[in-house]
Amino acid sequence: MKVGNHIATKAERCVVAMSGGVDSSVAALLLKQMGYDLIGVSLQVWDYSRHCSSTMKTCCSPKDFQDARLVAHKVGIPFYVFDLEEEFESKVVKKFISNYQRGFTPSPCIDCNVFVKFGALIDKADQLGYPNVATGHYARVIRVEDRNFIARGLDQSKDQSYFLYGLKPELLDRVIFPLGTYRKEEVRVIARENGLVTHSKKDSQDLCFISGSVGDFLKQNLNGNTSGVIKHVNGKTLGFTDNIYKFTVGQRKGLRVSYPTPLYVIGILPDEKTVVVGEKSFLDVPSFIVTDWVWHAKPGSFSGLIQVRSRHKSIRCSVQELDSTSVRVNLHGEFSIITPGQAAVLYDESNTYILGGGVINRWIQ
Amino acid sequence: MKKVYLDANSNYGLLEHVKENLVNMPHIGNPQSIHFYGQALKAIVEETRESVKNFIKADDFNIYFCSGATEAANWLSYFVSRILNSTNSLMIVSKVEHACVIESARQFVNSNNRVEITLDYRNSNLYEQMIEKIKPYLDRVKVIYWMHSNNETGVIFPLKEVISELKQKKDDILVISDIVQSVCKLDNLDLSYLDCWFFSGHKIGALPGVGVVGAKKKLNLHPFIVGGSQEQYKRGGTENYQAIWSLNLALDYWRKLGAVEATYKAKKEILKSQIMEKIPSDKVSFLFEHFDTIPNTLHLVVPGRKSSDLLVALDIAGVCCSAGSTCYSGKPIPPTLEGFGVPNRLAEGALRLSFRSDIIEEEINFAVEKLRNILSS
Repeated sequence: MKVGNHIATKAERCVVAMSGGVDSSVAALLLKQMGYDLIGVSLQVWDYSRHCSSTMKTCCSPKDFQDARLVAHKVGIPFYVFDLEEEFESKVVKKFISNYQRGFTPSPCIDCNVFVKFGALIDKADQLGYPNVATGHYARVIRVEDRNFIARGLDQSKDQSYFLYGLKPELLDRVIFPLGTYRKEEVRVIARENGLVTHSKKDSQDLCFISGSVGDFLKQNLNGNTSGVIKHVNGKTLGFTDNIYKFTVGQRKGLRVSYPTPLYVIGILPDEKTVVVGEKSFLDVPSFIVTDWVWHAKPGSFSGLIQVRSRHKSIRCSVQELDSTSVRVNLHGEFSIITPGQAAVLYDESNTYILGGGVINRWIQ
Repeated sequence: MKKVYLDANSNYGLLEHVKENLVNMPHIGNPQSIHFYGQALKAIVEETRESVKNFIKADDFNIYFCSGATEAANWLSYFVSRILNSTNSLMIVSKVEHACVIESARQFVNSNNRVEITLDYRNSNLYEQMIEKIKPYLDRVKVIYWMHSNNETGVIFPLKEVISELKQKKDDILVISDIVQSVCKLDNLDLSYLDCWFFSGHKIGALPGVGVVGAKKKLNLHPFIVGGSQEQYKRGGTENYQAIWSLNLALDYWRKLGAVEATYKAKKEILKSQIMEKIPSDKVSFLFEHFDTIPNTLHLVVPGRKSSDLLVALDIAGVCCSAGSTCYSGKPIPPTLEGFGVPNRLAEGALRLSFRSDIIEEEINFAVEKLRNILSS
């Protein structure tokens, strides 16, 4: 087995997505230093003047574009803004809302990667004759035997491979993650030493299109029709809420119900306008079904480690293929909070690279 | 990498003549100061004012300097609002105006004192269109705010003929016009029928930061920016004497160059015929070439393609142009084209090619070749 860093041939044409943060700034700088024929692009995905306050800590706001433009100028590459608002709204935001209406807790950043950064952006790059697309993700593309795999970034504390499982495997010889072998502190030092204005900029927080809370955003987009009851799994009504969407499976704090033992959110049932709560043991799910599965390994049955939230520790499991887009995951003794709508990403036995991933659909008790 | 500049309508670019001579001007003092340096700078400002008067043949106009056409347009919209608001009179403004006019009109002039006129790009008789659209309001019309030529499409409006016709029926109409894209592109520019006009220095090879407002001497313009005695108390703030002097130098260049229209026209003909020859007719359309157009501007649309994509591809290939007004950059559909009634499916593929008088045929060939390559992929 050969595991190595993906390094493309120099002087190739490459589009680097620049969010205006320090990571993508340094990614652009490194690619330029490697000799790529490079253009920097920012993606206009959301009309912040219409939807949000100007002080949001996100990527892709007008201030971020200014920073990205300054960095591109400093690095010495052309810079453009691509308008991908339509794609973002239809394939990320609407899906986000509809998934909540199904009782799921979705991960829009994953959809943004699949449909926008490595979807629409790849299409634009193709039109311009740029075969490679790079981002500032902390992840790597490695070669194992005859296949490319997405691997964790070497800086485990910043690893973003989890968000990238949805990339089509055939794209992996076109994507470049220059920061995959760097630590965040090193990236900031590189940015500072090279005079990039973004060197001390704070990391963006996720959900770039929501300025307040998710619950408030959904309440606004669902015309305020969000109230419901809080029920114990035994059927007893414990309280009421003005917004069932402000709860997430596994949540303990903020339930505001009186009960002798600690309670957790076990499920959200939008059709019944109900938040189901129960004791922690109800969250100890031994098996679950994952759909929309994307295989990076050859499809089959695997033992490995599964990660079910972006910052959760991955746990041992076996995965059994059910059909071409769904699998059953059986956990090997350890438990995590299995939240329908979140991504479940399967890593190899060494917890290094991604064998496949999909969306948690339902529990099997 | 070779670059061809086809965006002269957004900024002509500093003329060599201006660049070379700017260093010779005084660089200290304030034109309002009474001392030696102040006097020198004041002389520069006043000399430029005279140059503008002579160049534009504007003896019966007061000439005021400001920061550029956007400020000028705002100033004049504000002036109009002081005349019209709280009266029953109307301002007619075309919807194909530059943003600085249409948006300042919306900002300052009450909606019940303002009529916005759209046009039909398919109807080549602009005179009839304008008369027909304005006439229903004629009894109440006090102000007509209409550009001399359009910055995006290049269309030259038959403003003189229209005003002449309308004034036969109503002679107290005040006419204000954006002449930004007509100055130094059209020979024998006749502004005698206008009451106010304005243009920007950077569109004719001066530094950005200077605009000129011409107002008939009978008019008492109310100041928009106050706080100083500059410009006869009409526009407060230290004069941008450097940009003002660059305007003087630019006018000097154009005066010495003499007639330019024929030169521009010949080059535009080459550009247009090259496009028609090398690019299949189903790939590009000219929507405005059945009108009189300013001779350095060729507007085209590429059906089925988006301007934003084309501009990036062209820039990477070395051709620098725009989709329309750069003040609207980033918007998918240029509002000017909406004002001309161009359907979205065409407007979203708009390109504006505007060149300097010194463009050479080799550069035109290069640009057309790159455009051909991009449209064939």
